[in-house]
Amino acid sequence: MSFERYKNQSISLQTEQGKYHQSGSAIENEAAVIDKAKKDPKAFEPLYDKYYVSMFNYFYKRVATEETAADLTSQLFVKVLQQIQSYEHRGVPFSAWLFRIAYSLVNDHYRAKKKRVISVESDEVLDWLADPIVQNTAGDETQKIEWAMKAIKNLKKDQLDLVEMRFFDGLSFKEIGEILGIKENTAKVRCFRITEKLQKEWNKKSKRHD
Amino acid sequence: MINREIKKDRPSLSKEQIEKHKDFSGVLKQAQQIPLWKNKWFWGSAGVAVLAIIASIVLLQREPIDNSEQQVNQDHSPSAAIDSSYQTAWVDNNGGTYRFKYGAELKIPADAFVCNGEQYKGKVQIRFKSYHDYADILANHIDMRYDTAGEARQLETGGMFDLYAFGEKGEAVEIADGKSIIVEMPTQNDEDFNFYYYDTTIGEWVYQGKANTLIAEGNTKNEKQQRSISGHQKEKLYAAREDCQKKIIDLRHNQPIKPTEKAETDFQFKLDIDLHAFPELESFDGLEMAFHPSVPNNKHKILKQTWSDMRLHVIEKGVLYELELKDGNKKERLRVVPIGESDLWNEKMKAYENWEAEFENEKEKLAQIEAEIQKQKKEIIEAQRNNEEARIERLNPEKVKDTVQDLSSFIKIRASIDLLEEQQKVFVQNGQVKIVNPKLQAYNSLRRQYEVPRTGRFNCDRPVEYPEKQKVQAVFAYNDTLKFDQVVLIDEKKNTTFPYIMKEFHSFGYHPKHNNIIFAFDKNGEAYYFPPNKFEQIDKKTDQFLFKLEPCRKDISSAEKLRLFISEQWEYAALAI
Repeated sequence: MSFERYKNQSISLQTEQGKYHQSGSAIENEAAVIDKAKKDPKAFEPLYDKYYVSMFNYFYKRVATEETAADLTSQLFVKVLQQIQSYEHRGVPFSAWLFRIAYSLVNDHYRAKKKRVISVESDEVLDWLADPIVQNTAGDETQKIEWAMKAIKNLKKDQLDLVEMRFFDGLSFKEIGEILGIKENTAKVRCFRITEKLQKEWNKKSKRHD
Repeated sequence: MINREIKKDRPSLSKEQIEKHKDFSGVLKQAQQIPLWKNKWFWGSAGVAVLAIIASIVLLQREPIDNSEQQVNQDHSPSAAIDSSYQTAWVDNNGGTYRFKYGAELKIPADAFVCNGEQYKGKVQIRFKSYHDYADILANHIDMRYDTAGEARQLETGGMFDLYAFGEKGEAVEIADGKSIIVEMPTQNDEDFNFYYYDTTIGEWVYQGKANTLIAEGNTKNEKQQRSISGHQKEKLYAAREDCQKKIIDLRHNQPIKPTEKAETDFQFKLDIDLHAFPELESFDGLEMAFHPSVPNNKHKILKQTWSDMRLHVIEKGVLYELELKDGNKKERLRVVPIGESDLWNEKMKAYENWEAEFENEKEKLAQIEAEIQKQKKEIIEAQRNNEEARIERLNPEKVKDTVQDLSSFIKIRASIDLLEEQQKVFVQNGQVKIVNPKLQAYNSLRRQYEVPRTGRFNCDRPVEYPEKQKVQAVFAYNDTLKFDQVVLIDEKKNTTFPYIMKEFHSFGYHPKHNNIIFAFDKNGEAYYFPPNKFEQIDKKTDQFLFKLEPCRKDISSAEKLRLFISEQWEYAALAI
């Protein structure tokens, strides 16, 4: 099972290189809406509708309560509308700009609250750390998830940012690059290194128990 | 330290649960509710505009109008110790060229101003102020912050200016549509800068295009005056081309069918037409039909055949019809036109001719715009080539030592102009510099030119990052009694100021190899500073440092005095005093 998952993942990585999760025409259409919104903020509503749920989920995965997520989502769109005049369309999806502002907002929130929430799904963790060769049993999987939770808790901030965006939010490397202000390839290499490191650590640990 | 809490397999929210929080109108309302005082550019720009208007009303109520110099005091600086002022000049309907202090030159065309949409006939007072360096920025407390998606950057300036115009009664006047004022002023280098206009209605800088540089004529034997079209002009041309192209496409889509003239047809024939079904044909005097010129000649013979059924369909009333002929399985569809004198026909022909004239006109206009774009592209390439040649020449110290300009030489020259002018009491009068300052020539050697189609605040700038080479957890204090939460760093190599509000910044960054100076003001507006040579005291191994600021005992109550003070501090640092 995990082998299949790994295979699919590697295929998707090859095909998505250099791409956004949106077509060129969709990106251009968004740019046209933004141009209108620069003149009349009310024209922004279609983009607000389009991105509300995904941005809410982005925050919800990172904060303690539904209300805080709603508040941050609202702050995000207020900020976006206040800054929309400075938005320059450079062929990059509007969502990258949204995520970038959201990333900055959520970091401010962590600093203020001195607390960071990380929401993880067991399946996502297994997908992420799946071993291409070794087939885990159900018992192994439970242990692996528990171990991964601790490992995630101890990741450095920038590593955790990458893991959350890539494996839990499902963003493309290009999008991650845009948000974090790094090159697509750098995002890819860093993700690979974190994953490889954790997989090795897990293999070492599970062998010791054997 | 930020604690981390992991939530495993947290129940996800349904789309409905999430969407119940949606409130676009609330977001819209909040986005539009920025209190004026909270607007980061208020003190720098809107404040200037508002205060300029208030100041002008007060001044004009108190004093009779004449052509003499009026110094308009602008106390929009949060630090009361620092003062600034506008330079003014009266301009009549003929326009002209006006020179201001520090080498700025305004070329104003004739009949350049309007008031309430009407051309302004009286004299217009120009209020102009140029900002060149960090001393101007700090003295005028101009906020150079540039927030891009939550990332703090500063704008480094290549020259900034305010340009306002007022009528004889102090009423604000605007630059007329289609007119522009050309502003030229010195700049510190010819690197890539953008040109922005500050739109006070939206509180944002609006990109106008790239800022052009030109080298003043006669500085060296090989230097040529460089001019290239400004971004604004270029954008206007591209916009005109786009409009023209759209109009041509639109005209093509709405092309009327051209009515056929008798001369265009080979022969005419009569058709038994029920005029109740085609009342528009009733108006034709001596109505005959003919094949449309597009119908091939070999089709004409079909009229000699016998057809059991014949139908006429309208394509364009009075202009074009389709004749459908049937006989058993045989079928023909041919385009036919009515021939004969008719008002309807004349009307349609006139409409077609009007369309044709408009279409040709637009095509010609497009060709002219294309030619202008090509011409200007060539000019840009030529200007770039000349710039490059001039740059190479300037970089050759054997040839033109004086014209090499970097920020520090630029500031030094300007500081020495300040000193000289202070000593000789040379000021601008009626927009003309009274005494030619020898230093001014070198200072003016590299200039930028801007085409300004409106009044307001303009800036030639580019974003720069906060210095981060060396970072420390900083505390800024004077003795043990005064702790500053806000300080401003000036890095000699960057033409901007770097404000640090310690609630926002968690550490203080600077470049250890550059000259740096820190300023802070207490609540009474008294200035304190941390001199450049003391930066050496910071232990690079420790991540904490107490910056013990000193009171600024010299008068820094104007940009000029502040510049001299900073310039002296750089000198002391160089001499390691």
